Amino acid sequence: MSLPDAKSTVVEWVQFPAGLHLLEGELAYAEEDHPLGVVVLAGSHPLLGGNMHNNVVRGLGDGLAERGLATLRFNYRGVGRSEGPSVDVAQHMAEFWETSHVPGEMDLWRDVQGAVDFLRPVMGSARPLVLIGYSFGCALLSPVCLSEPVAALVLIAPPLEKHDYTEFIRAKCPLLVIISEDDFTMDPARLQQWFDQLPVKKQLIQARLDNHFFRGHEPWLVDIVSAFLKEHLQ
Amino acid sequence: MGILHGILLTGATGLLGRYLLRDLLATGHPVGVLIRAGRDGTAKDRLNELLAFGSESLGRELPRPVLLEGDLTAPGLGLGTAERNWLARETRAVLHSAAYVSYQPASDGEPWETNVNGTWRLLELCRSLGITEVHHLSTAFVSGDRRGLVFEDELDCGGGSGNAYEQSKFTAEQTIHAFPGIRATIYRPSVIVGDSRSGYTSTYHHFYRFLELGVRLSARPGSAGTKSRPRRHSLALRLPFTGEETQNFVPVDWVSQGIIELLHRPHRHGRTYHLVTERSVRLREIVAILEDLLQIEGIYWVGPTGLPDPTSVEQLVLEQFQDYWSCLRNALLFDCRNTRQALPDLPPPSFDLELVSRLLRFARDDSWGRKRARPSRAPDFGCYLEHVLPEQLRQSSVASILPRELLFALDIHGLGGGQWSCRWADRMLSVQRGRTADADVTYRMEAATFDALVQGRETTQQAFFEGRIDIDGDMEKGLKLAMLIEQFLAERPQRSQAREALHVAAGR
Repeated sequence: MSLPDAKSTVVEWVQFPAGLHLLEGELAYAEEDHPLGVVVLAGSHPLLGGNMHNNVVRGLGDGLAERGLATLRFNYRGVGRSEGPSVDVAQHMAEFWETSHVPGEMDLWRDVQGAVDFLRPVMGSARPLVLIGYSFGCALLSPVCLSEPVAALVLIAPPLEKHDYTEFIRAKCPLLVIISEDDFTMDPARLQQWFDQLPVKKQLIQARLDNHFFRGHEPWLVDIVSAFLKEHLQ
Repeated sequence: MGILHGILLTGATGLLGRYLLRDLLATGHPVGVLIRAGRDGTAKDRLNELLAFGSESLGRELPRPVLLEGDLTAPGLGLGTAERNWLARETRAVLHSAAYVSYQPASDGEPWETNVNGTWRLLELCRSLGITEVHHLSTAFVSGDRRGLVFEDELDCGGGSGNAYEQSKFTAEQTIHAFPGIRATIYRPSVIVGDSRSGYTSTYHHFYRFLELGVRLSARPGSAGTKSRPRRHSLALRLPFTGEETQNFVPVDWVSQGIIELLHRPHRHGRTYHLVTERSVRLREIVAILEDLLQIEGIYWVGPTGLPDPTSVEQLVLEQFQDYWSCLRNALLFDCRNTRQALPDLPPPSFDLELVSRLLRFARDDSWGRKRARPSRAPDFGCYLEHVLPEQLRQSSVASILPRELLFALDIHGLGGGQWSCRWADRMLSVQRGRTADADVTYRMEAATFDALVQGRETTQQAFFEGRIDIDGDMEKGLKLAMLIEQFLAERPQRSQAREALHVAAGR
């Protein structure tokens, strides 16, 4: 398979069900061709401003669409125009400040599942499925990648210290991990130990990429992820 | 009469003022220009900058005017005997372009202090010097919130009921008409935008706020630097208008040219002129231009009854519209028969895609004024941070969420900026000038970004993810605190108080 150069793309505002809620998302794809694969992007934590307009999520969503993939970025329940209990900073921040967690946050994996369930029939169930997580969104991918036929998995800045990443050891698909060397959430030794035990084809890319945030490095991320998918999507 | 004998110009440092000065000087008449010292330099520095602009934009050297250092808010405009003698000897007319352009009333009495009392002081000066010819820059919106066709020779027809700026300009017109011994010519432009040829502007209000918002909404960080072809980006944005509301925009160079032409036709003096486009442009047409220009789509008109459950983006848009609400909702039509008769050979340029493209190109090259902009009075961040913020925070819902103790610092670059240390303890905030080394978190940003945040023009998340805020120290605390700051700033009373504390004078 080849991932060609930039194409003219369209971005559609879409709504899809995830559990009891109707979520909003932006579906981006090349205007002329059938997509070479379908990508679901899971963004950062809603209590840290995570939404589908985040620079990493949007950058990859648009950038990969230009490379011939159909991408879906979305707002978690209660964020933006997605239904569900609103992200109540006042209610949760006191606890979040102390623990960096809020009750029910891991349940947001169902939103990722909803995005996958919506995207595949729309764009063709036979097309390879790619899951990309950024920050908190990485931790939500393990339940989905264990139950779905995922062709490739990309974890960008996974905060290993904050959530449980042990289940990724059971994943069967090729895995790309991208980390900034100066990421404030990262313990390098722990990252290496976790990465070494993953029994799949895998690649770890580390560079100085603006701490946890990749501001200004979005085109670079698109290049790196495209190259990885070019190699592994068959 | 005349202006051949020389003219006193006020308000030369404003956008229209600098064009009026340029075009007046280009006619070769003696000009006395009233300028006060500002935060961006002495009166002489400011005049030099205006002359450099004028010479560069015309491509030739301009004669130097007489600098009259003074201030409309000072008794006798703060002029000395020498300046008064020069005015009495050389001038027979005044072109009064100075105005305090803010739609919100401020605690220091603006915009009335400048626009009404300042006009009164100027008229008093005219009387004492024997000047009888006054050319006054007003606004087409002295019509307030009345509806229908607004005629040039009417004033008191339901006008005077718009925002503070419009009310003050309405009263200024009344003051001039009531002042004995004055022959007044009134110029009422609609909304002034940049130069129709170069796109130049020195100020970014009104139309530019919407233009910049459109650009920000259309921005796709992932596309930067990649080989992308143009494509339309869907905003899914609902607007609480019908789309049939109208706006009226006129380029600054045309307004200036029109006024200078009328100055030269004494038989036309003593009347009121609407400097407007004959056909107002509908919001629907403006959005269509922006859609083409910015490659966006998905803007929906849902009517004026309000937006149910606005999204965060819609909320942002509504807040941007707040200052301009009365202007956006109206459907005024301006009669311009006087202007058309007096200037049949000077029709206003069309407000079309080509013009908006030029305005956008200049604004982008100028970074929307952020790099260059030096407002005539800097926002007073110190006043806001040290006096307003602590009390606001104490009363805010955020006070109960913040941790017991926290020390954060602000490092704000640019005009009005500085360093401040903010200590939160026992539900009290104390703010001191200077930066402390033991701050948990330090936020660094430009003055324009800080101003935009506290006035609600953008969110902390947006500014951070677009690289306009840097966080030093404990990054995690910094991100969490930024969310709380956003929550605090989103509480509406905060914004109006902040706006007042920061109040920026423009164009005075």
